[in-house]
Amino acid sequence: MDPILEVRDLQTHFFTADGVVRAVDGVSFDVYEEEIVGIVGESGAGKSVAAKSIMRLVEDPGSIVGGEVRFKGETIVSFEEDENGERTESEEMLSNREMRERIRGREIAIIFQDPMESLNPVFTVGGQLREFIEINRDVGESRARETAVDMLREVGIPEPSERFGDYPHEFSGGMRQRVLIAMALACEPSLVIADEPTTALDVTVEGQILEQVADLQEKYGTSFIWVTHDMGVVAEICDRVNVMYLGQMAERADVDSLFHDTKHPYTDALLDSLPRPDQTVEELKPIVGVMPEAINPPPGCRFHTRCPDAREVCRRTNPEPRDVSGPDERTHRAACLKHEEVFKVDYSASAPIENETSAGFDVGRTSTDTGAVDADGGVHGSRGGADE
Amino acid sequence: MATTGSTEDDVLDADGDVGSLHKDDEIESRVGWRYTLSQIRGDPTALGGLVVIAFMSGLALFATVDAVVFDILSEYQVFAQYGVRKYWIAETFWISPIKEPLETPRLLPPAPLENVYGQGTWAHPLGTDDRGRDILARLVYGSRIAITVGAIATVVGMVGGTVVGAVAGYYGGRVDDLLMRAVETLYAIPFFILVLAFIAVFGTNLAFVMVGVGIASIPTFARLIRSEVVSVREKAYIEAATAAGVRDRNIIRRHVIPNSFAPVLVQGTLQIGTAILIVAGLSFLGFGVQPPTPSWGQMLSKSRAVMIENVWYSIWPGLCILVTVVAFNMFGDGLRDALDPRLNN
Amino acid sequence: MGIYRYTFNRLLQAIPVMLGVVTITFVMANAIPGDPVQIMLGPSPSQTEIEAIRSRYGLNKPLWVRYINYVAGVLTGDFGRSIFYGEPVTTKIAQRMGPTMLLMTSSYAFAILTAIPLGVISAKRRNKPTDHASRFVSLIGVSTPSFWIGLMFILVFSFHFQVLPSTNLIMPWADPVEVRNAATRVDVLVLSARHLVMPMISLGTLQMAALTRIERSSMLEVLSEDYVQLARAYGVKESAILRKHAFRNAQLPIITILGLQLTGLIGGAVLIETVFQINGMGKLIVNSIFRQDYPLIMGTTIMFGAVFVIGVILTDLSYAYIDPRVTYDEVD
Repeated sequence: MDPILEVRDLQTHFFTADGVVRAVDGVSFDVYEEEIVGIVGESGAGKSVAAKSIMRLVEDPGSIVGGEVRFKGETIVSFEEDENGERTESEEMLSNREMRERIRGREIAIIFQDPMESLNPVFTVGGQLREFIEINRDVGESRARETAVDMLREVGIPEPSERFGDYPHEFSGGMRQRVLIAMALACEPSLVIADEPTTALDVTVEGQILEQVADLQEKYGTSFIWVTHDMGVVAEICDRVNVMYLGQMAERADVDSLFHDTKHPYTDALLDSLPRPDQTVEELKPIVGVMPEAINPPPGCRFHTRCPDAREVCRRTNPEPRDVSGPDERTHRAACLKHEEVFKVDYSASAPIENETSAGFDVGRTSTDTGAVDADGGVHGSRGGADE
Repeated sequence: MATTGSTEDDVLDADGDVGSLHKDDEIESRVGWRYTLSQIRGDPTALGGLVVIAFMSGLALFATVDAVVFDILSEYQVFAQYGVRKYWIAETFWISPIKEPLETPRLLPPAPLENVYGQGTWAHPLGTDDRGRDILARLVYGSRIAITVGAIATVVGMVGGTVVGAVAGYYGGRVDDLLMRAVETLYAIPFFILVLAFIAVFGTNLAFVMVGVGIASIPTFARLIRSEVVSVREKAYIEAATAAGVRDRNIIRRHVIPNSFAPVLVQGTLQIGTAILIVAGLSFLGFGVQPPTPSWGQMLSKSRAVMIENVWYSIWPGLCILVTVVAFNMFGDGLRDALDPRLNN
Repeated sequence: MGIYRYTFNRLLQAIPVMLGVVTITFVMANAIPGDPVQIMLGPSPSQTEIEAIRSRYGLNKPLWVRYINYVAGVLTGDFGRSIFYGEPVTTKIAQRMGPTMLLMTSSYAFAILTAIPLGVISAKRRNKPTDHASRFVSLIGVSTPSFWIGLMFILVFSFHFQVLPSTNLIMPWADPVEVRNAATRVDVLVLSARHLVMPMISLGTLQMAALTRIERSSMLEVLSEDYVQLARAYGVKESAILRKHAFRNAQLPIITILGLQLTGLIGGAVLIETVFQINGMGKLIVNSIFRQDYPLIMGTTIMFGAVFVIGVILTDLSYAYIDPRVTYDEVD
């Protein structure tokens, strides 16, 4: 079976006064029909930017500078290189108009993180829902209205026809997020991108909504990309998971093998920092340091500044995710040099780096006020290592 | 401000030693200044505004020395014996901005042009007014009124507004209610009308115009600084200072005002521009500095009667006002962008 | 709470403010150095004359009694008599209110109708040549003295091209019989428009420029909101986003500003009435100051205060109308 969405080596950069921020720097993943794919990582890892890039919704000063995104035979992003190595957008790419008319809302819908900000405060909830249904399903006003009310009922809004004319401020946060989910599903897309949709909600509401989404997903057969920083959420609803760190992919695997046969130290660290009922607070192991900023990523493996398994070789080589799956496993990729048999480097011979102190923290601090020159220097250094 | 976090920490373990807190504030503001300057250096519009402001202020300073300082000094024998008098420099090296020369034709056009009154000469590059006085000289000496009155009026409003707003915002409750009600009432009388009423009562003297414009701008500053103070007040370091037993007055002076100052400075710069416009309007109506002392607004007022005869006479003073106010607005906008990126659009 | 209750409550709130305005005006008028009676009677009046005037204007009573009397008078619509004209202040103000209101409302309409499209276009084409041009125009607009714009207009259109009249205003509702060179209602309207256009633009330019700047930044802010992104993500056309999804939200700050900018508009009206020799409230207050006609100065100041307060209430009302989050329940 072919994937409905293929993302290859996607690069989205932000061109700021302080330098180039490589928010997404070579990310690849697939989404198959009827599955929920997770993208996990700390804040600032580039998850949301990656999600928005798929719909070409990245705004100035950001832009997609490389890679490919294909969706059901349509080319959303594609570049071609001329003889000088200059990259230009390829001609097979959908035009902005085609994106608007064929893809956005109709084929791919998105749910944003903050339900409080995602609905227009001066229009009624029903009116907004109805408008998007009208645009994306080519139906008249009254038919769109019926669909909207039905969909509000489906996502668990009580008395949907009465609430149809209410304004967003008359809904609670959880209710608003339900409205946004209704909005996404009502347009009957093949793929829904959910960008941390439950982060702003409290835990009970989050649980209810996750359950509801799982039910609806089964009912409509829609694929989901679920962006989150919460491994708990991943475990609950995802089929497959992509772990992102600093704009790059650290590990990709089915949810079971990711949890039970973790192959990247960053995923390990994420899982260790997750509270579990069988542990006390003292046993929790938060990840050391903070993530460096994408404007000035460390050279070599981007995680080496915080990695407990880091060796000297990690300073020099930035690994791309490679297949490290065991014998009877679906593809399991990890971007870590400790799988030296796959990456063919002298990991075990290399000297370990001591990271327990504040290495990561220092990187985070210096990057806040560096000039463009420093940022560029750092950036080039890291790319140099990537080709090995 | 970027370093607020560290200041907080220092206060929290400062065991009552507030001296160190004060020092931190100074460091903080100095870092801020350097950053602001570097931002402005990279902003051509702000820089352009600053250059024009500097030039106009230079002219105003020169004019003030010649017209006011020398006037005062001439009272003393020590200086008078050397010939120090009002408009000494102008009359010795150039041309008097106030004396009506008998020999110069009135209403001459700018140098290369010609009108019914004659051919313009380079002795009067911008032409002459209805009494044969040199327009350029009068413009130069008029800059004194625009700049000094604009600046002094703004300082009056800024100081008054800062005190009212800081006290109201800091104490809150009754004091806040009372002060802000008063300010609101003052605000309910339109600015220009309030100044006019003030002038009606105290007379059209220049000093009263300055104070009147200043008082009328108190509400703007008071509201601004109050809202800043209310947000600053909530921050932990003020609480820490209170806990350490610092007196309210000192908290306001050392912590609240310095931290709220950025928006006031921006508003102040823009307000100077507004004040110049208002003062020019008042002079145009005949309130403010009295003839023969030149001011731009008054020149415009005089030019109305002879507009057909010498159109240039009514163009130059307006251009001077325009250029000066544009400069303050450009610099103010640049300052705002540099000091408060949130407001940057 | 209904809109009527809300309006009523807002008007109630305005009472202390207006009382404050009356008080400030009264205190200022009584802080006059010198004796107002002397001013009224000229040099060397007789003692009996002075006493007569004093009792006629109630000046022989203590200050607080005069204050109470004045406030009571204002409440019953009695602002005293003008010293110069000898007529009641209210009569004089009623005569002069029309031209000022016509000038102010038309200028505001001009400012709003030009500023909103300019600001929207500027925001849409951010940092493109159109944006730079519009920003330059608004920078110049906020920095140019309105009375100088008026003078330049007169110079060009009245003196040089001789196409527009440079003085006076004609009310569009004036009786054709009483208007020179007008036979019909249409004549009056045309004449009125020809008289109005220069003062209107001179007075409105500053407001227009200020509003353009605010409209631009407000629009830019709204365009970066999540709900605009969401509309984009659902395939809404860029033009519909501007026209529908962003526009209404972006007008909210504009409405607040409109109320506050009234103060600048009123100040400008005083100058513009002087430049174009329009017999309105502005000219009235300026002349009263020169004539030291205190009852009239006080009356006009209070009236201008009232115009401003009413304007702010109107903007509050329309704000609540546009923004569903603001209900009429929230007073203060």
